[in-house]
Amino acid sequence: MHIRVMQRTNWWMIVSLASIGMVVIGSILRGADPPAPEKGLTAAAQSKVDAVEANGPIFVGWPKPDVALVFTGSMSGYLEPCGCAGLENQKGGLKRRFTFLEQLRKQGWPVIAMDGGSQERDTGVQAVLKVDFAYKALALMGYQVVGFGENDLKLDLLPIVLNLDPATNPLVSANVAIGDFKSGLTKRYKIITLGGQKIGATTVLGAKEVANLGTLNDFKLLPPRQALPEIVPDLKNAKCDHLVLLVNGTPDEAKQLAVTYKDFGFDWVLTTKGAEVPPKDPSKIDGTNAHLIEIGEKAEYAVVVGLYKGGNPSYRYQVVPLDHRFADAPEITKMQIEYQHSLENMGLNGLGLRTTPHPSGGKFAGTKTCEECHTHAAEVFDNTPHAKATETLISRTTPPRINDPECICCHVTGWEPQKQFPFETGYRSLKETPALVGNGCENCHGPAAKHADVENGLVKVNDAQKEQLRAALRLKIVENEGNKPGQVYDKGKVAQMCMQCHDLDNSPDFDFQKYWPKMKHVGKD
Amino acid sequence: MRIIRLILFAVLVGGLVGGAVAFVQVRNDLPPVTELPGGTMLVVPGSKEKMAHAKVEEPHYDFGTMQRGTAKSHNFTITNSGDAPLKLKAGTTSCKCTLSEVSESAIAPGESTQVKVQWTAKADNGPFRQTANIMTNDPLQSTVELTVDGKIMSASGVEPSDLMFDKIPVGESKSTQTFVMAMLQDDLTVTDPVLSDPTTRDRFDVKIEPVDTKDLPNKNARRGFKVTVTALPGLPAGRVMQWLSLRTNLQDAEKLEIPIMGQVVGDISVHGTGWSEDHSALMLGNIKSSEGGHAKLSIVVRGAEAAGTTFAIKSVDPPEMKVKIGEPRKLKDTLVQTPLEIEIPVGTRPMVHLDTSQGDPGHIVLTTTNPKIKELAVDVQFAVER
Repeated sequence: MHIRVMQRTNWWMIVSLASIGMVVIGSILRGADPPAPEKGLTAAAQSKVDAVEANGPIFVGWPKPDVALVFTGSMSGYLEPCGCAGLENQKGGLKRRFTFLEQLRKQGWPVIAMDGGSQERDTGVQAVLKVDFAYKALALMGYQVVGFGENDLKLDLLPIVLNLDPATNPLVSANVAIGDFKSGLTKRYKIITLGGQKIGATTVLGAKEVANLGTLNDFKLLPPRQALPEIVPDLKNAKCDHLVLLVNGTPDEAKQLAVTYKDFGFDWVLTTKGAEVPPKDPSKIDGTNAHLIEIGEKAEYAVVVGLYKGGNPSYRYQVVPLDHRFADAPEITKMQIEYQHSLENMGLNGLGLRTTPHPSGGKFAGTKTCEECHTHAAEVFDNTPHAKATETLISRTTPPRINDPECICCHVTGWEPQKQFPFETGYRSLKETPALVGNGCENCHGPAAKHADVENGLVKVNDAQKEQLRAALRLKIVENEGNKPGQVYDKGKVAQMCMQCHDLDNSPDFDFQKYWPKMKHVGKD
Repeated sequence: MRIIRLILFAVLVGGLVGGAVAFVQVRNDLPPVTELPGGTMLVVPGSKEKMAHAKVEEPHYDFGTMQRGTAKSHNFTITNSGDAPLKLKAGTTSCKCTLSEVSESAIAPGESTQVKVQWTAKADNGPFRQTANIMTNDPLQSTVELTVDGKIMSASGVEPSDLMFDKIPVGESKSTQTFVMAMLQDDLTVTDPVLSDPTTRDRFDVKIEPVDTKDLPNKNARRGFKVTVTALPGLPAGRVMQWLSLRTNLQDAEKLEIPIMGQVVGDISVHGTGWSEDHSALMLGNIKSSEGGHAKLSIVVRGAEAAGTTFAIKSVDPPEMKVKIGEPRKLKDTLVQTPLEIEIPVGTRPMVHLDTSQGDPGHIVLTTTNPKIKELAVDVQFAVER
């Protein structure tokens, strides 16, 4: 009995120790493997779209770099991709970017994150709030270098920058200063030592952008060719292993600057105004040792350059699609909640959204009023997502976006969808204008209050005027009208109207000829 | 001793097995490589089975310059250089404006097929690049990426894209300008300027005048007009937001809408997250008593008196609000910032100060040493709930 027990113990010990041995020896031998998994760093929630299959694996065959330079830029207000079309079809967003950077760092990669600027493309109070959000998020993500874009500087940036924690303020520009270059609110360049490598970096706002801005009261702007000679010698004297120049300007200007200052030896030159999609590889800039990096648009991608001192190759390059393989970071979700709370506090008035009369001069009646007579159209409409468009902003988004004009504009009745402001008598709030919830009939047909009043006998007009009011609300689909190649887009009005909301950002799959049959309705019956 | 021998034996066996497994794995990671189009090196599995191999001579095509709104297409040739039938299927594209047409019939070894990629230039002026992925049964590359790029040129241009005043001193006049240009036509008309906001429409003057092409900001322009908007004295303090609409005979822009932006400011202004210029108030909204509320504002003083201007608290209503003035910071000789912190402390009793019938907004008065402005009032809209 005793022996049998011992025998069991021996086998258990042998198996256990053998397993440990397998793991230890296996790990040693596999030590040279790339640290980054090919199937995405970590997959986000289960999704019907496989991000890796759709957008490709990343860091295939990469050994751990001495230092990873992570480049982003041109977010253009896309704090997050629009969820209307399903987030798994969209790329970008600060929540995913945060997770991506965190995962690199967790794998022990020394990361230097740099952003070329252009956080925002719009104007107005909401745009200011978004830049505030962006700067705080970039600081939280440990960005070391963040440049300026032309539209960023058109906003009231001063108070935002003043509120940044000086210890984590990442703003760097050779040619843009807040106040003047002595104010200390921005740095002209940065030298960062990490992973045994010394990286010098600066940013410039392009010459055309500087000219467009002219003289700004709160900022000092210099043309890049005046500013760079003032600081590049210092960068060169610092004897950096790599020099980085981020140009908020065109690829041509970025290349020309690299050539002009080739003696200073920029190795990596970024342009924020390349094509929407970055190329798979960096391009060598003729006559220099520099490589040009494009980062695409809307911050849908991050570009990573891994540096290997004395390695062969000495660098590796990866375009990282910021898709749903990267889970939403709770840290940024928390900021989103605060941001939505700010929008609620400000209200439409506080956000400076003044109402404007509808171009037709009409007033909105609300979908229920239309449905009293147009019963067949009502049956169709009530079974489409248009009817639930407002509800969607409350129940299907986290946090709810019911106070966000960028979302409201296409989810209620009576707003200008592209310029994002309410028309007079358009939706104001759930409490003030409950009849204007949903993306209602009048968004396409036009405000119909007078037509309804006439038809209900509340306003007396002659027959010609009555018909004129009806005719003004009719829409006609022209032959082969649609938004796809080979279809008629410019001559019709209906598909164009749909595209005001079903645009490429928010509804990339929209195909008028496929969607229309789902909500086909004709006149009154 | 027996135990030690057992341990040594187990570690030896485990190590050998582990090492063998790892060796196989490492070997699998490092088999021979083959070169794919574009110079990408891919791993070749050790199998001797027949397999298809998709080869693209030119996976990239330059469409050159395209006019906005037009479409172009290119046929990429994919050859099966393997020894098994090659199957292709349209995969994802970088933009839904990119279309790829792929024949789904199998391609015999040595045969080729054409894959048509079409792209409609819908983006703004500047470079573009789009990709279309073709799925394959090639075990070496499940996806072939085809790229088209080029530059988009609009038939028209507005440069700068907006009319920006920046800061307009209260009571003063200021002008800003932009250029409307035609790139593809020699005749251009720009007429019927209309401002969107009727409440301040009469405080602006709009002038449209033709400009010699050499003075236009875009060298491709064949005709152009300068549009100058002047803000006249009398605009109320706060944000300026208007849209200037213009009629043109441009093919792609019969109606132009150009934003007009700016800020009418006095020598002293208040800024910060939650500050509403329209209300001249800090909008804190509903605050839970158990959490309290807090905001950091900046008082910015501009002009020759900036450096000498200091602030002191004169009154705070309701007294529960805590107000703190920070140290002034000189950003340049004519620009000084003074921090102003406002706190609704945790535990504050319920109250309503939302500027409604239930209660006026909170009100803070600061005295200043500025010779032009003796007092500065700061309203705070908030309500404290349990």
